[in-house]
Amino acid sequence: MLVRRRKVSAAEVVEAHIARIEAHDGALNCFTDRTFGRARAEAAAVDARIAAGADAGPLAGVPIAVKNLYDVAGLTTRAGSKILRDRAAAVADAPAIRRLVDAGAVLLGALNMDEFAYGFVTENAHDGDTRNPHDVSRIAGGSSGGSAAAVAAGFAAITLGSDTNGSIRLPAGLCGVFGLKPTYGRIDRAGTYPFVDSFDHLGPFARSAGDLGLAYRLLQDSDPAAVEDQKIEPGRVAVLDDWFEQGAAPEMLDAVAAVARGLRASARATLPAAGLARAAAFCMSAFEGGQLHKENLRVRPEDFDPATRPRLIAGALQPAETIYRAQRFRAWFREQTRLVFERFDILLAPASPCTAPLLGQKTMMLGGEAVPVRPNLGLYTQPISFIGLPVVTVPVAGPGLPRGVQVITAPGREALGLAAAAALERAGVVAAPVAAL
Amino acid sequence: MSETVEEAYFDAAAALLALPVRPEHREEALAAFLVLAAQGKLLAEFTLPERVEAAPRFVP
Repeated sequence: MLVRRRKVSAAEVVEAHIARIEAHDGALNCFTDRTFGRARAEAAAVDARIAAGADAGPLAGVPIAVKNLYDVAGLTTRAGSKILRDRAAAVADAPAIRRLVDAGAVLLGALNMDEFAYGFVTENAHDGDTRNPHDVSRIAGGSSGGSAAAVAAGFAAITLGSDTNGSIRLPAGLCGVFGLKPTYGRIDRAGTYPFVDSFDHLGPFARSAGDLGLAYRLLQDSDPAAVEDQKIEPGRVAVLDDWFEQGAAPEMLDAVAAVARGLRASARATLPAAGLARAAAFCMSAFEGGQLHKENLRVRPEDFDPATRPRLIAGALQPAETIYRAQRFRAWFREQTRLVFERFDILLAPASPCTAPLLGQKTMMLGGEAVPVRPNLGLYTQPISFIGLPVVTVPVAGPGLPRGVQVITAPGREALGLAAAAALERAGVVAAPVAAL
Repeated sequence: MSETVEEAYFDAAAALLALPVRPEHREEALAAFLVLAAQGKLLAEFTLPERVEAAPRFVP
């Protein structure tokens, strides 16, 4: 907005962001590829359009960056892997990037992730670990860890990620920024490297609900996302209980309660057998991912990240019966959830069972029991993406490490989730300040 | 020690599906398989109504 009003030039904005990245990304490791030359050229073009009196677009001069599974013209799309690095560079940007750049954004580069998006930690054997800007001894979450951390660090105003089992919602929560996983199929996945076709979603990160909504409107055509037209009825907002509370750290339940109070909600709701939804998503993800990578698992297994390889091999070898049962269960669970949405418009749940674990931490406490970190961070996100529901992760304001809450709505109702995020932001319940580095 | 049913399945499936697992990768892959098998068992123990279909519906 400041660029469009000529308060500052796009060139000045991009140089300030480049300087911040150069000063601090050595400690955080968000970027795997820097496209500063391109960013400077795009900023100059924005400034030229403004000087000529032309409309430079709603994102004029806004610095963006993308998870490195998006095609970026001139870069090899690595998807966090060593294996894809042998491939030719992309000849064109992914359509999602093109939409933002056409709206005036400038692309600063590509961002770190778990290998092939199969993880919740962004501890990558090939590209190193991404660190949490709010505490560099801790993980950023994953698999879009670089995307969440870059926004939290003030390296970019908007970034793009992907979410299969929680890979936008989880790192957004752990890094204290807003993240949107839209309805399954809402944003075109063309030009991005897949993980699990059944559950893959694209979506943005931002430091305000307004920026998140603006990015979402630009990323697709089917939903005008008229936030101002949405009515939030407190009686139709509920906190999810049962599975979505079991094992959660007290501070995460406090965060959910704060969001519920902010929306004046007191109801509770249950998604039946949500733990089985998580189990089904777990099995289907491993299966589809294993099938996708089967040939490379056969001929060059040594080139996979050691954290990824065993799960892909195991996934590919699962009995067909398990996958068939998971698919049938999905149909049942989707119908049960539809019935819950007859009574409620918004459902609330923690984005993670706990705040950000330490880098390299192997186990965490879940309901008094020590469990492995990697498979358990997504306990509360997996049942939701399993049936493609839209979710806005909101960062709850307060001292201590960031805590994210999922604002879940029925399919196609992203606008309501964005409206709730905006209302919570206005009330001071949620906020995404730039981390002090 | 005798091989478990899960181990026997794992090795047979790897052979049948032409995905040989190198000896140095087998222990971790088998461990991951056992985690998946436990999740799959939970699904198998849940009785769904007979008419629930996996097939997608195409709504015009």
